[in-house]
Amino acid sequence: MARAGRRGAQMLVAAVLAVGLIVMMVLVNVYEMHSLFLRTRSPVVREVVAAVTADFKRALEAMLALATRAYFNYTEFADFTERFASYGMSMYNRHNFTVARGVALAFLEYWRQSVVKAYGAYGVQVSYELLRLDLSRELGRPRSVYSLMKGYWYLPTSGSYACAKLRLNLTALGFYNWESDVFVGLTLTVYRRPVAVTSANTTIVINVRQDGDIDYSTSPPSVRGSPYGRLITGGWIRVYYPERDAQGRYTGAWRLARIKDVTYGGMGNYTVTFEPAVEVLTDPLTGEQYAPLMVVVSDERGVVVEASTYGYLVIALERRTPDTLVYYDSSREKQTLARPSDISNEVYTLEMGSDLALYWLGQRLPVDPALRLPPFPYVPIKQIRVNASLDGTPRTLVERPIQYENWTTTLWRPANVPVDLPVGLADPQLDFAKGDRYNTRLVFQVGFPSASVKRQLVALWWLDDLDAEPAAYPTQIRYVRDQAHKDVWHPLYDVEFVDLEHPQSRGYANYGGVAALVLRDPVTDYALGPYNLHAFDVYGGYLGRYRPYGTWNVYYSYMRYSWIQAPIRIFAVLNTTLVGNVYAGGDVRGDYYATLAIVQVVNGTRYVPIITYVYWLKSQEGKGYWMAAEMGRGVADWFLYLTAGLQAVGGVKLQNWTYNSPFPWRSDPPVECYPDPGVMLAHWSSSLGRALVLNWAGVRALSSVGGSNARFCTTKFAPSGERQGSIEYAFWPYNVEETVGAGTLVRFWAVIFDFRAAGPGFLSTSTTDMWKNAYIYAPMFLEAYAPIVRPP
Amino acid sequence: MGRRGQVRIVEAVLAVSMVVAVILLLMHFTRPLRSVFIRETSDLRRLGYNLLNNLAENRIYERVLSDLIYAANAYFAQQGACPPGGGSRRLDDLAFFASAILPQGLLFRIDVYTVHHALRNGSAVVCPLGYAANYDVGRVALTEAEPLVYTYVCTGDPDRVRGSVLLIHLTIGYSG
Repeated sequence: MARAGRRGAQMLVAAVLAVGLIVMMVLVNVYEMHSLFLRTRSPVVREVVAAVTADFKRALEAMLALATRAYFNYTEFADFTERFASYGMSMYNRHNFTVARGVALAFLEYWRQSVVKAYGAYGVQVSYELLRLDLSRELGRPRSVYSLMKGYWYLPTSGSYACAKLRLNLTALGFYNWESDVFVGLTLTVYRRPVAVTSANTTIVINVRQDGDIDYSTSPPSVRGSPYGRLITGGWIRVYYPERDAQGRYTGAWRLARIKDVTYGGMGNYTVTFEPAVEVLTDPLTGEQYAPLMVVVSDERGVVVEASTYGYLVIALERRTPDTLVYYDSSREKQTLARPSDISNEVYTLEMGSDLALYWLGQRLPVDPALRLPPFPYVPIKQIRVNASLDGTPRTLVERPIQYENWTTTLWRPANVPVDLPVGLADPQLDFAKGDRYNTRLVFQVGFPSASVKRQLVALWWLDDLDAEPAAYPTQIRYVRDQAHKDVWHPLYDVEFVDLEHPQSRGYANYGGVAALVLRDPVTDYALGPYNLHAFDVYGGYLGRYRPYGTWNVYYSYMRYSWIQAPIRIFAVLNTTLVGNVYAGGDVRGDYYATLAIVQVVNGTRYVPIITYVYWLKSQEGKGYWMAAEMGRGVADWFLYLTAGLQAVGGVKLQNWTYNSPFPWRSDPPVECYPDPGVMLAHWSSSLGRALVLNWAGVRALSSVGGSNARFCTTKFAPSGERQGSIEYAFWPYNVEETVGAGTLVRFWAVIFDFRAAGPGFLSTSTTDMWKNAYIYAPMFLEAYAPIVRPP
Repeated sequence: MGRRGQVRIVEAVLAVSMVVAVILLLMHFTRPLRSVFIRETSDLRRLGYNLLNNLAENRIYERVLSDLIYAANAYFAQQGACPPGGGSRRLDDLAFFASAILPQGLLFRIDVYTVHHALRNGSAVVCPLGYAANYDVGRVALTEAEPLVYTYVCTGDPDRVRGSVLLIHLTIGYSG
């Protein structure tokens, strides 16, 4: 038994061994089959994955090239960019990276479909997801690429980037979950200081990096570009330098430099020599030296980067308003008036043109010749911002609202004189570039909160993010247009524009198409009476028969960004050759004078400037000729005017003499007029004061056209018999008949200034002396006291 | 009992052996490729993709086909259809570059198509641009040939073709 059992056990062991061997043989054979399968499959997988990944990268490259070429110069690369117009990449959207991104996503979707169909035999499934990669090390500032692609331009280190994660399955080959992070990039660093400037040439060094490695040790993963050595053979470089006029001042335009030599020094460094010699400037904030240049490079894939050697412009604005004012009282005694330390109502609303000129009330500001102000790079307007200091020091530079407007210098046809005319708010996606006739103006405000601050710093800078939107700032002004309103609301006054479109002023007169602006109480909507732009002759017993007749064009929102209201000012423009009669409908004439008026309603200020041009088409004779008049609707209890010193009053020529004013409301005589009107008229009550400040050109025009007949007048009653109490600048009063000659041109600005008896920025005065709170601000509206632009 | 058990073990071993033998026989007969063919297939694929990648990396497609791609794009943009005559057009410049890259003795045919995206209905339309070959395609037949497919987004100069999408069919093999 024991023997038989031993033999059986041996048989069992032998059988297990035999079965084991057979199973092992089967396993080896299966393994061989599997490896054979892998060997036959892997070349296909490898090659297909590599081919699809490479093509995905090419698709990204093409789309980044499209976006950046369109952003840089759509028309120059129209062969490329226009082919994608049907996708949305139109000339209109050339500076819209959001649209470019949408085009890229649509293109990638079509590409995906193409790949799925092309590699259908392998069962290809393709998708991609958007990545975020950190560019801080690459750009030297905290930036990242996300949402498929991003561009950071116009600074010394600039770049264009795209990235996405590709996901791939080859279902027919049993290959799943392939992922590949694809990154496309081009980075340009321009070393700010040139390495050499000779009498004819400038030599700079740039560094160019393309694509690069992704470092997954950081979160999010970061990239560092690889040196790009094919700029000379595969890409191109352009250098732009700022144009200067014969006096050496920058004009605001750019010129393409003539590149004489480009040398590759390895590691992505290139030495570029070009004509001409460029002035080396000093950065006012850092003290670094730099040559003001724009450098643009493109690689062989068409990806473009634009860099600038500077990222901001800094100027100093120096106020020239006197802190102690002089006037002569009604006794002809010289008096001085010290401004309060708080002069917070001295806020200048400045314009800076793309020609680098600064304007205040349409007047070009004087510039210190020592100021070296290079132009803005070719940056879209939407990316421009402004900082202004609070106390004149760089540490208080804070961002302020900015507004972009389109202006043109054009011949005003009736008079054939050149005028600067606003033609609307700008399209923020256009370049802030100097034009021959059309120029964009940046509008910003600089305040002088206290008398101790004489200079303020202003830094104009630009965002490097091509996705930047125009800034929307909170504002207290708003345009309201409906059947009852054509108004601009302001916290201090509601300005109602009456004209052909909106003849009926609410609760007031029907102007029958005559264009004027009615100031209203912003709380009660009570009409305080109109400001009449100009008036001529009488109509029976009524004053001011012919007044400008037409329609105000009100500009209050940006093109394409219609939801962004003008943050700083809303302006209305009247351009007409007609005059009309408020007293008789249909009495409209085209043989009197043409009027061009620009009215600004300015946020955060107490003034409404009105720039006016009047040109006489035919000679006309009439009783009374008014330059400008502000009605009162009985609100004012006191009146004041200052003399010009151009005409003798009581045998004396004296400037800023109050003569017999201030005087209180009195019903008799019905019209009161005084000679030699000067820079300011005012009427007020204890709660509300309004002044008209006339510039010196206007004061002189009063005298040159009206001669000794020039008058300040106040009309006591309206035609309805209601109390009026206006303040009027008249070339000659209603009871004088004179002729104004054809070809007479009158240009002036008047500023309506709101003042109170006390409060921030004002002296505490009695009601009688309230006018002084207008007088302390009047100089800021006069030509001689306009601020001067100096080096910081 | 003990002898009968041993016989059953022998039977089991024989049964397993027969099953394995049948499996091996089946595997032998169902083996998909001969080793020589496996090697040739892998090599041809590698060669083919190397060729296509080389042409892509050097932007040969844009250089030699830019006029045709531009014309095809323009035609499709205007007519909404493929330009006529594309299928029979010989692309000799492309054939020249391909011949320079491939080793001697191999025959190839590269059919190039432009891919147009019809934005209205979201479809992709493929239009033949022509073919490049180093043999007389009408007379010579390929043996042991390997077909490859490739997509290519043009990224090189000139601008007028940048962003165009190509579909490329490559057939590579030996003369029969």
